[in-house]
Amino acid sequence: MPVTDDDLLGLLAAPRGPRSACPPADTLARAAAGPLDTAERERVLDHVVRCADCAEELRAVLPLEAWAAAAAPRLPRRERRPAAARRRPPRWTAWAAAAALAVAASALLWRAEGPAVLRARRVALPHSLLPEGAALARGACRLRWSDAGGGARYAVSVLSKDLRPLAAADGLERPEYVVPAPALQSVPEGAEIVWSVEARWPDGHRLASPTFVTRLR
Amino acid sequence: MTDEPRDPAAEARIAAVVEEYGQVLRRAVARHCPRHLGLQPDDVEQDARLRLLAALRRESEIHDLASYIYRVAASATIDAIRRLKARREEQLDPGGDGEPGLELPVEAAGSGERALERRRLLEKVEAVVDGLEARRGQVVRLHAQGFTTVEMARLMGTTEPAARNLLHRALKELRQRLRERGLTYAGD
Repeated sequence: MPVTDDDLLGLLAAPRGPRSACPPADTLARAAAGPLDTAERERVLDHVVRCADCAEELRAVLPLEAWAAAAAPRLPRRERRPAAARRRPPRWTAWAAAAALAVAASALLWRAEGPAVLRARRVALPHSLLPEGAALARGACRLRWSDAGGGARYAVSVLSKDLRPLAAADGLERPEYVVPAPALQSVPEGAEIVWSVEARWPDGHRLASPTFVTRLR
Repeated sequence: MTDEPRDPAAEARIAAVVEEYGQVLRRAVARHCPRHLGLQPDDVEQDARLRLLAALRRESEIHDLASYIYRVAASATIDAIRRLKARREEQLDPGGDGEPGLELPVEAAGSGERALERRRLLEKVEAVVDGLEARRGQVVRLHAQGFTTVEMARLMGTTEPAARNLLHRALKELRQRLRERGLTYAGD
């Protein structure tokens, strides 16, 4: 029976399989943005052409580039610190060492499964420690999450259910944050807030938690 | 704890950009993400917007802001999609072992002679594509995944005319090799 090109392409369309071999989201994002080195780009491409999930994720984010280019000029730029106040740039040897470390870390992340990476680093993705379905008083809105380990500090963002920023904090040493009561004044009785935590380690690694939803009373 | 004082004008500009991102994101997710897992653009948007907002409020002295926010937005989008996919799969397979099985193409999932014929054809095509020069094999598979030549060029670090030319030559070679293996084409 004669076949068409469409038949061939349908046959070649990759299946969905286990996600354990997929590159991290940030690696795919960097592949979309173009800054990967040749070797890493080839590894990502070799994976994407055989993984329907990664292919569709990559295709979903490619249209965002035009938006980013148009949006960037409209964002506020913070004033640069005076030159004398800036840290001296590291010497080329330090840059080379940092680059080598980044490549090694990237290769490790790329090859290993997500949970294995976390185990190797003895760290964990923060999860909410608030009881399921619990409602917090707006005068004592203490958000708590699991310790990510490894000396992590935390940044937390709190938003209304319609994603209006309510409060944020950075550099938290303990896995908890009390949302200032005035920040919650505009939230109606019984409404929910959404919040998420990013753990940051001294070596520059970051892990963002899922989004948590908590009801206020 | 370091609650940072916020400049209302700067906050408003960031909020406007994040709002716009949400709209672009919903369209992209609706267009490219599978509906069979029940992935809702609104759910992806909420998670991803939160990530972008946090990143924009946090960072300063970014040299290439467009590239930076693209990477942050792309990473946040992919993360959000993956979380929702994982959640949906758990809901669909609550007692599963966490490793989703391979999903056969609909035609191949059927039984009988046609499915067997298709399986043999797939093996033949796979073998031929694997035998192509690496870049040609990549571009054929990207084409099969639905990437345009503009997108291929960006992913492969080349220009669109070069990607188009590569794809043209790769498909020509693929057809030729399949003919050599006895496959006939509609229109030959």
